Amino acid sequence: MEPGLSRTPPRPVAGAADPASPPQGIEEGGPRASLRAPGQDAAPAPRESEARQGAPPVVELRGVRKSFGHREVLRGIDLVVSRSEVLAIIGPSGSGKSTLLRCINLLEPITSGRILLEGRDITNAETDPNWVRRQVGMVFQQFNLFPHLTVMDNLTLAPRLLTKAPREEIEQRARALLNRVGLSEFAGRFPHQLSGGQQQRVAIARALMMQPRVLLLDEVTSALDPELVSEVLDVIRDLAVSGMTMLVVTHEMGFARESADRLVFMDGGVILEEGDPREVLDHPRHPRTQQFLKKVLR
Amino acid sequence: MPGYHFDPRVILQQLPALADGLRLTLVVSAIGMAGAFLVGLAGGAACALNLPLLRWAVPAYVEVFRNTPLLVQIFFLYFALPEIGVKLSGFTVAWLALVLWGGAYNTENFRAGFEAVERGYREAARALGLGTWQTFATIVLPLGLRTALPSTTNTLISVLKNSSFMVAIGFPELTDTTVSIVSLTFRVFELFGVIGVVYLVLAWALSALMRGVERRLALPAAH
Repeated sequence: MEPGLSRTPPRPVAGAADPASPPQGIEEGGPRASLRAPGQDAAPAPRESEARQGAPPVVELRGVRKSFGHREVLRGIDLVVSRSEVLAIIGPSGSGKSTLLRCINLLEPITSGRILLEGRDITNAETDPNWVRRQVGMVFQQFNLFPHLTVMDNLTLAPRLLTKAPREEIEQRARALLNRVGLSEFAGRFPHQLSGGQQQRVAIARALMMQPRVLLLDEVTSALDPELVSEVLDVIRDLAVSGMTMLVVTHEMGFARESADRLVFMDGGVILEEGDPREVLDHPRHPRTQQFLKKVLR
Repeated sequence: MPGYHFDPRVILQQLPALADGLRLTLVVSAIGMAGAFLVGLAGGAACALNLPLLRWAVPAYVEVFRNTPLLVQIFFLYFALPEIGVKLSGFTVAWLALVLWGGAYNTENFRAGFEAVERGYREAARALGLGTWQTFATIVLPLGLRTALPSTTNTLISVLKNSSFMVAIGFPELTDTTVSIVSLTFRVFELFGVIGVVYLVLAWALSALMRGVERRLALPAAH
């Protein structure tokens, strides 16, 4: 699974972000706070200024292919995600959406192509996958909170093992994140004592504890009872407003429409359509997109 | 019991000898159980972590010690090894045979327990950036151990009972001592009866202890 070569983080290319600094804009009322009122189109201004800085896209996929044995699941994916962009990925099951996310944080090794994280090639042999996964956060459909640990321990496990920060600082950040997702009183509880929506919010907080540059959300509301979905979407919307770069695989078309900057439709391992969420959802051009949306937007 | 004169006095008369035998049984079983537990844990971990060299050496060891009779293993250690210069005392063979036998079965118990840990938990740990060893120590081991405990308990009880096999090499644990006493007094019913009860009480106490451990470690039930 992992290459047996030396483990070094990729060498930075000129103009890339300093890995030691925390990702920009994860404060309340970030660059797009005033621009994210529902009903408004995505505002280009903040991203334009960042583009002018010459910052490389947070995630870039070039010709990515992934096969499981004889079955080719990703058939040539080219994708660019800019800083603070929220990219929604929709499509039928089996289209490769989850595999796409899992390739970006190297849970699955790709068969061919390149993946660049802030300009650095993370798919070459010298990259340490563990280093990559500290920069890329993931939230799973099944939450996957560690059942034998309290909520607080779930949040602090990785930072305590992987960073040199003092324990009090880590716990402080954990409490702040719990507060942010609305679960301050649950620090001492165990995952099974929480509802699905609460568990998923803890899972999001856990991913954020590592201060990732980009967050991958893999159908994070699909396993929830309908009435618990909105509390999780609220948290994701809040993250979007504060500038977190996110790739969101979702079936929640309303959320994609209102909160995503760009929408991508995948089917059969390729991206068939891409663009402004409203454009794609209201006026799909590819026949398969139209077919899919007709079934989904009942 | 037609024709058998039941006389429990023989137990009281032979109590010192029986007590000595029991003491050796307990010592050898304790070492055997502890060793079998540790060997099983290490072996199961080696398999789960897919360590180089060990990933075929451990299964080979398991196959040998699961598919041959314990008695043959004991004879080999005690009678065959001296022929190639390795002379082990009766005491050493007693606990070593138990460790090797129990360790093989426990390796399978723990390996199964570790592999049963839900993939999602392991993936979540990897996704956070935890390495293979870190994931194993903090997630796979604690969760897998709980799953493996019931079958491990079975193996440990078997180790306790299998200490009686040492009669084959004349090591004076409880069963061997009793056989000697029987050959002198012929009070088969009383003597084998009483040590049967002794083993039963010991095994029962052990499983009660393990149940307590399982309960303490158990993850709280879902609401």
